[in-house]
Amino acid sequence: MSRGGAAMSAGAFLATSLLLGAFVLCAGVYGLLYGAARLRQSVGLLRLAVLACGVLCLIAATVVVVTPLETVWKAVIVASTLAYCAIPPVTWRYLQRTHRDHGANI
Amino acid sequence: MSRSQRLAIKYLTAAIAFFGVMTLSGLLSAIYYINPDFLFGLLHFNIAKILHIDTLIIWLVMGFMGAIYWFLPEEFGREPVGIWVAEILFWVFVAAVLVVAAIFVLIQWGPGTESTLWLVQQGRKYVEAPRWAAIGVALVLLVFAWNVVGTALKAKHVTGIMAVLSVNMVPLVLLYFIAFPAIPDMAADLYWWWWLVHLWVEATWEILIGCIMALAVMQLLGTSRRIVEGWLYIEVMLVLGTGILGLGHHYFWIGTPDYWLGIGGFFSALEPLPLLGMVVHAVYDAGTHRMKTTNRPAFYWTLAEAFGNFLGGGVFGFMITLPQLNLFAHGTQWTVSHGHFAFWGAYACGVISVCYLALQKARDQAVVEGRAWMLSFSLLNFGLLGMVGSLLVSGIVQAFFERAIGGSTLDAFIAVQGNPWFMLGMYARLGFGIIFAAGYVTLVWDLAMLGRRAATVLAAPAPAE
Repeated sequence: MSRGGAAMSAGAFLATSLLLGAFVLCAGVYGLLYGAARLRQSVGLLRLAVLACGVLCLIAATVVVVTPLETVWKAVIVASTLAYCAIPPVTWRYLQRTHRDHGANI
Repeated sequence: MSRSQRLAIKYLTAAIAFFGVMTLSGLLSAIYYINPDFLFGLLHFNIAKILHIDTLIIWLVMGFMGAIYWFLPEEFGREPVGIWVAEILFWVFVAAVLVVAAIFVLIQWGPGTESTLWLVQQGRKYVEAPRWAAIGVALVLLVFAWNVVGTALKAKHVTGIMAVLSVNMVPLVLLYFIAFPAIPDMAADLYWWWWLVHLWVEATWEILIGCIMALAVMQLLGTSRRIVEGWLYIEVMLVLGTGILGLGHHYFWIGTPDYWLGIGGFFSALEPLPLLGMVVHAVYDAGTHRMKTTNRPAFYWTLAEAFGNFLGGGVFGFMITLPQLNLFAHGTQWTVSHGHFAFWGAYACGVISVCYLALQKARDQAVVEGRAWMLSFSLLNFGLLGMVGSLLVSGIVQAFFERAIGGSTLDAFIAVQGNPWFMLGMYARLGFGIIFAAGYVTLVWDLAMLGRRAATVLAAPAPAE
């Protein structure tokens, strides 16, 4: 199982797993902060959201450069990063549009 | 209340009762890891574990059925078709579960013959119930499907949610039939067994809870039907797109062809994406409603569902889902940690939310408030977070020392069982499990007293007048 990836040592396994956990966690923090920023129309929160998104990209870059994952999985991580960056604003716009078009709740 | 809703209350009550059995047997199982001699000769570890994981399935299935029976008459404006059969089968279902539990406890070992499969247990994880009981479960599911689909066919209008629910009944019932065959080849057996376990949990159950939460959110927040149906269709699309072939992550090391490594890894990696959308949606709903609702417990449990699903399924799952990493983490306490968190977030929180929603109407309460629900919400979630954190520590120790360094040998396995960090995780898991159990007791008390405390407060001034 070494299609473009180096051998997975014990240390590398642990570091890669934890990095991937942090990667998805950062995406969640970004989504949370982005939503809070749009709700409160807060520039400060929006900056924090952008910072979380930046950390997400940084972790993805670390996974790609440092870990011995196979190339195909690194490509999946890169594609996922783009999706994670896009999901909060796209979802938010969709939510606003549907609530406006179909009648708001409460 | 309609007959269907009275049946719903019975199902939800039974679900909460079996949630208690699951919690108790989970606590017992946790003790064995600290003291392997615990209840020696009386109750074997494997039986406590069977009770723990089987009641997990039972209480969630009963919770789902209760939720659906609650919403059916409101969706169709009539009693479900064949509700009388469902009423009878409820008692048969409960009695069968109790009898099976008694059999598990009374016959803990013995020969593995054909009669064992029919009368005692089938020995397949999650579906250990003997065949006579499995036939009963299949019958209950068939009647449940008839109640839903038959009512949809008889009704003059079928909503989008009910159409999705009706179609979902087909795989929900058919997949359960995989609980029956006894295939002697373990790889072939596991291959089909995962169809039941994974496709129930990560496909049909996801759609089922999606329908339930769509109906709950309409009642709870007054969200328009077109909006929730739009989201439900997106969810169905994503489940079909990622959840079904995500099945592959269970096929990594069980004797299946290599291509499952690629399929399983790829589609599992996509699974957290829709969960991030759920988090954003939860923030939107919480924000636009300013956390104000007539049923705060139901609302908070709905939010817990979104965040718990993301953390348990998304974050904890993604750490171990790629084949190069899963090779080391598969079947360790790390997987157990992910399993606990994902089940809690994806399903348990949703069922508890519906319990509060149903009881609000059943007991005619304009507003559901109080302190007990906050205490149970805090204890249950804190206990659960502590448990999964502790299991994560133990799982990392296992994956690192036993698998990655020790090469998965028996010696390495035995050595890690005594590792101080592994044991610390096991002790901590038991401690947090006790906190979780305290949360369960508070939840039961709160649900039992919901509406009755308010009546007491209102009634109190009367003697003084």
